[in-house]
Amino acid sequence: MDTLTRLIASSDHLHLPPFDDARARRYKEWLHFCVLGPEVQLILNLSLSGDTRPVKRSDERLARVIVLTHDEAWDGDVDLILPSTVQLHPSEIDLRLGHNTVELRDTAFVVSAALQERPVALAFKLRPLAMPLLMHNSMTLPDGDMNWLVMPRLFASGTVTVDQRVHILKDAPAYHDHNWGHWLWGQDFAWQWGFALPDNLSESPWNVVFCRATNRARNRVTGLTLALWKNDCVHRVFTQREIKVSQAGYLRRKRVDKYPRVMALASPESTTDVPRLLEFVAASNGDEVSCRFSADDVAQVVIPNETDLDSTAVNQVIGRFEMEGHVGGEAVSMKGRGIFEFLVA
Amino acid sequence: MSSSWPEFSLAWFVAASLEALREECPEAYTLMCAQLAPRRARLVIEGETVTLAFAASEARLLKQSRRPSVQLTTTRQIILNVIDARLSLEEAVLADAIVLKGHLNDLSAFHAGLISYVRGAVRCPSFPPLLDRFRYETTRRAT
Repeated sequence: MDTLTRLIASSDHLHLPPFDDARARRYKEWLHFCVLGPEVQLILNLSLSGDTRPVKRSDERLARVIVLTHDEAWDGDVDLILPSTVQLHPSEIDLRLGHNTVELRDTAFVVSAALQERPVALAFKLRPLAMPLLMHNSMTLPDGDMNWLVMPRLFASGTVTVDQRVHILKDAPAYHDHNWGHWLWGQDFAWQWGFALPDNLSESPWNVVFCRATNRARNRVTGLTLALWKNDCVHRVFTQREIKVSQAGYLRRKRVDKYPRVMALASPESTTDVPRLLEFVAASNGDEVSCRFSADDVAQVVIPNETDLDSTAVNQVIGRFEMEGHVGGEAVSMKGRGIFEFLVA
Repeated sequence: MSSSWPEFSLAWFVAASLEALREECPEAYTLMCAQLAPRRARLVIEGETVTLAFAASEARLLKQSRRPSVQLTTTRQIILNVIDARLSLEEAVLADAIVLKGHLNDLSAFHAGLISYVRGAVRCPSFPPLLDRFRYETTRRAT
């Protein structure tokens, strides 16, 4: 096992609270993977959470698998997994939610998933290429905490099948993160978060991760971070007032696909306030980078609030990304793609 | 499918779902009732008819059909198409796949109550098996 794999093995494990922990109901944790293939883009999220529904069947945690694919159009779903089919090893990266699995084997994540009601399946190996960045309390939450482990640069090789379309990917750019903490959907927070990678990882050493945390009304910024990696290392991190964010226009769609689909009935709005263009400029101590994310398409994961009967929409936005600047006297330049999330009330 | 299941009917499904909503998400149940009171709503689905009467904090099925404030007529497959987002509620109504009759304010209240019902349903552990049963019966009838 090399140094990078050892570091991942020691930091990317689950953080399950004991059932008798007073905060266990508000516990949430997920492993999140994104793959940016040339013809298909993929989002996979395997999550565990406490059950905050007014009436629950048992003390067992809720397990869900989200798969979204984007090729000719969006497809995907949110599957609720039977608790009896959940297998996990808290100290290892080995998670089985029904037939959906993630494990760290040798130097790669081995992931496999297939939706219950949609003809979408995937099987991948994702090989990390860069050191992770761990951020404790990455977001200011009312009476809660959210922690974030970012692995922004991986090679993904495998197969995604969507209906009759089979996409075979080799060394496609990919992203992984891991969030855990305690909060309730519907509490006073929101985020704009995203990553970008070059189209061809072997041709550019740069990649970025951006996060802007706000209150739910989005009129107060509670955290702002832009992390820049070069090859396998974090190269520069800008925070707070070092970053200026602006946006222009709105991404228009005649219809916005929502997942799970039934939430289109509960939350039928077909408009979003996803910006067509998001720009952020980070400058400090003579270093400066300018970034531009141009949104191409959006799908929504709609989560029933745990604080009221409303819902929270997590806009999953695929787009093109450009970055120019200089850090430590070295020119920085990257063109590629990214996936940004815009969480709204 | 288990033979111990109760015989499926629209009335059974509506009653079971309202009971689940009342027990498992009372906030949504109470809101739905408040939005629909004091109206009656008639559902006509492939020859089966159910009439519901709404009071401020209670919904009940009427044994005898009485003149409703709102009547909804559609098919089981259209209901599944809307649940599965193959068709939006708006598209279904505009295409007359769902036919709604009633005064505008009653229709507006019916829409608000329906949305509260759905928002509660997505929070109730009993709804997924109820929906599975609805799907099964819809497919069985179609074949």
